[in-house]
Amino acid sequence: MNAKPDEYPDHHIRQLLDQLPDTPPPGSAFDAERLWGQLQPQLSKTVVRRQFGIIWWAAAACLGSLSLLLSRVWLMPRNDGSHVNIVRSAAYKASEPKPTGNLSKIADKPVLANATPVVRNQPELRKKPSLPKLVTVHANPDDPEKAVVQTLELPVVADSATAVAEPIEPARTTLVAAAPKRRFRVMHVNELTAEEEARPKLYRTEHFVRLGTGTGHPQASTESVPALIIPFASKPNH
Amino acid sequence: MSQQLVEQCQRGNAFAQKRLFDLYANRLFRVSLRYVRHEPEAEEVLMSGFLKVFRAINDFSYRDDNGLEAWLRRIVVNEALQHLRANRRLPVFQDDEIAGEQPDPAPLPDTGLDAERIYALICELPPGYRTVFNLFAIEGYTHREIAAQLHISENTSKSQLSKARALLQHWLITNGYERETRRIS
Repeated sequence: MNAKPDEYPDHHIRQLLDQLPDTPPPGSAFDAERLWGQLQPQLSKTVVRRQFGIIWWAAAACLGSLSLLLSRVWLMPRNDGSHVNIVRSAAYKASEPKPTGNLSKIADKPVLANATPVVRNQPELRKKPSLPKLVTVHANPDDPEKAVVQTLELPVVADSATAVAEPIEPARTTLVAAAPKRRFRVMHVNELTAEEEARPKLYRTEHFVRLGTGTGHPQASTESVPALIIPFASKPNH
Repeated sequence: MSQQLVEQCQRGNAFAQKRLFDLYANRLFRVSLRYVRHEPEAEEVLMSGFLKVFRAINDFSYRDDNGLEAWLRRIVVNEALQHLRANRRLPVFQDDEIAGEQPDPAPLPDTGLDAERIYALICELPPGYRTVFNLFAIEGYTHREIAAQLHISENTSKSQLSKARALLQHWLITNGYERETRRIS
């Protein structure tokens, strides 16, 4: 209720103030030109700072995109696999058996005829044991005082310890040898059955197929057979 | 013309900025003087206000001249309040002050009144009365907005406004009444 009478003076005052001239109040020392002189340098600083800010942001954006592009190119796997080969060769070299000093020691040791050779797990270079030599001494018919020494090479007897089915090959340095040795032959199941059938049967009934359980008491009905109950949760053994 | 002026200011044209300043500097100086009361402080408020205007003008969309002036005045008023807050010159109000003296509902005598006299009387008001009166009666803020700006209650804002009106009316009637009595006698 009081708003209406209050609005009149407010509205009136507002109207009067709108009629004020566009000049400073009388007796005022305000000078617009002087104030603009103080304001203009600050405005130019603001503009320059804003431009620099934009330039810095643009430069930062360019650098960021460039670094992202370079990182993608650097980390992208190459198609020729050279990167992978580098890794493989490095890994192979790490796993490559290093030539130990034992080789030279073995070579220097004299190998005797009755010495049992040492079976080593790692394939390593070793010299063939020198063949034992049989020295025979017999009298010289020409000169009874001097003996004739003859050396006879004994035949090499195959020893299970020394027999090597395959010659010892030096460790391959190629990438192919880096693959693990297969211990079993991979074959198709059809080949396996064919091989089984082709194999000569030792017993006449070897290829027979048993029918039934072979107990001699065929089960009459399934009612006597208790139903197989599989619990959902295994009970702990107490 | 003002629309082109605003567009040129948005592009950073120094001549346009100078032109806009010349158009509104005196008017906005009066606005700031109504709040801070001292001319050096009013100049400081006006300068910071125009700096803010030229920084934020890119975000302003021109509709008409009244809208442009209202936007400029709002910026200067906020700068004036910020200045008062920074210098701890904001008036301390009494909380939940009940309005004691109600203004006379009779219309104000408009004889012998001029705009400069009213402007001077408003500037003479006490700080609390003056701030609330300026914000409510002249700028058009609501009591809720005034309470939020000045960190007072709405009741305090209403009471301050009532007292400002009462005092102003008293001065106006006194001035007008004195002039009226001279005419009569």
